[in-house]
Amino acid sequence: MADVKIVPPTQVVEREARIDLGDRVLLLQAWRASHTDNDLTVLDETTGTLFAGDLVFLRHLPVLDGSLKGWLAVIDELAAIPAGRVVPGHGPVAGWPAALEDERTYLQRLAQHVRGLIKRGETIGAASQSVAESERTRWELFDESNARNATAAYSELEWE
Amino acid sequence: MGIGLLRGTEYCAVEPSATQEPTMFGHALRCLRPAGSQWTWLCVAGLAVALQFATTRLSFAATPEPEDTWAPLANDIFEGRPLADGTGLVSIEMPARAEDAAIVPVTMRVTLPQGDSRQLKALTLVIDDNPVPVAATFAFGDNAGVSVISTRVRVNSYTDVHVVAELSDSKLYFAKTYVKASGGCSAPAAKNADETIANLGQTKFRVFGKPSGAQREAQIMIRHPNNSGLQRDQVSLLYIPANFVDELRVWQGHALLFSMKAGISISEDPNFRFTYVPNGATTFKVEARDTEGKAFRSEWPASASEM
Repeated sequence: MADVKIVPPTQVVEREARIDLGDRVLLLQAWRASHTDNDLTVLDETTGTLFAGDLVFLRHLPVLDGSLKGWLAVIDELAAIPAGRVVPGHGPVAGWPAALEDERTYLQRLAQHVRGLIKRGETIGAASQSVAESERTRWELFDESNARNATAAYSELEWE
Repeated sequence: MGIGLLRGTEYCAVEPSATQEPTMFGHALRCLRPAGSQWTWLCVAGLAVALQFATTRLSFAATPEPEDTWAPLANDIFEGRPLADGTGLVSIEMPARAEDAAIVPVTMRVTLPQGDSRQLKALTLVIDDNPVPVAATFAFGDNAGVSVISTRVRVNSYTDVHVVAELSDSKLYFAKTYVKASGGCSAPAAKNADETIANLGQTKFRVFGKPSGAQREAQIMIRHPNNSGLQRDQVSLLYIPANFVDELRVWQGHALLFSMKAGISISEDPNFRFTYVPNGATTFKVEARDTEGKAFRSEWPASASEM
C-alpha cells in the first residue's frame, strides 16, 4: 500500500471533454443534477462502450441523491448515446440502451406515485411508507433505499 | 430560553490521551463518540458554531452519560421549571429509523381534554444529542387554534427527541420519542446545489381540509439551504458557513398564528404544516429572516392552492 498514490483530479468537465489516449479517444460528459449533482460518463468511441457510473443502475435499486426530474430527463439523453454496451455503476455489463429500461420504469413510477400523494395532501412520512411497492420484487436492496428515494422525491416534487 | 444552548461536550473529539487529564479545555473537547481525525475536523466546525452562539452560555460541565442527557438539558433550557409527563396531552411522532437523516419528519400534537379552557402557548422541540439540541421554539398567538404542527429536522445521532408544550397557565408538559439516524447535521448540503441557490427565498403556501371546517390545515414552505455550519463544500472540502432561517412569523390576517425561533436542526427548505382555526381573514402572511439578516416576506389569499 505504500506505493499507492492518490492522484487528485485536475481537469474540470463543464459539459464535454475528450481525452486522446493515442489509438483511443474517450468522451467525457458531465450531466445536470440527476443521480447526484456531479455525475460524469465516459464513452470509449472505438469500442462503443459507455461507462455510465451511477447514472445507470441494474438489479440494485436506483438511489436518488440529486433530482428525480433531472434523472428522468437525463435518461432520455443518455439513450441517444451511440454505444453498444454499458458498464453500469451497479449490476452487470449490459446492452445499450436497453439497460436503461428498468431504471426508467422505477423512476417514472416513483415520480407518478409521489405526485399523486402530494396532490391528495398526504405527508412526506406517508410517502416513505407506500411508494412504488409494485417495483419491490424487481430489485435488490429495495428496502434499503426505496423509502429514502420517496423522501427525496417528495421534497423535490412538492415544489412543482 | 436556550435557543443557542450548545452542548460543548457532544460533537467533537480529540485523541483519547488528550482527555485523560480533564483540564477545562480537555472537558470542552471530550466526546462521547469514537475519536478519529474526521471528528477532529467536526470539532473545528463545532467551534465555529460555538462562536455563532457566543452570546449564550456554554456548558463545559463533565460529559453526562447518554441516559443523563435530558435532565440537565431540560434544566438549562427551561431554567429549572418543573416538567410534567404529558401523556394523553402532548405527543410527538417521528419514524423510529430515519430514511434520510437530513430530512426527518416530526409531528407534534397537543390535545386538550373537553372542558380544559387552557390554550397552547408554546412548543419547544429538543433533539437531545444534536450539536445544538433546541431545534425550534414555536410561540402561538391567542386563539390561533394550532394543535398539530409538523416540520422536518436533521438528526445527527441516535437520540431521544423531546417536545415540551407550555400551556396558557404556564405549566410545561413533555413527550418524547427515540430516533435512529446519523449524520444529519453534516450531510452534504443541497442534493441539487445550483437549484437551491437559484430559488433562495421562494415560498409556497397550501391549505388542506374543507373550507367549512372549524379547524383547517395549512403548509408553508421556504426555499433555503439552511446551512448548519457542519456541512462541507464537496469540492473544496471547506466548511460552508452556517446560514439558516432563525426567525419566522405567520399571520392569519392581522392575527399572529405563530412565531418560530430556530437553530441549525431544521432541514433545508424549511417546511411547516399546521392546523389552525380560521378567523375569517382573507390572507395569510409569512415573514422569515435568516442568520445573515436576509428577510423573506410572502402573502397569499387564505384559500391558496386549496385541497
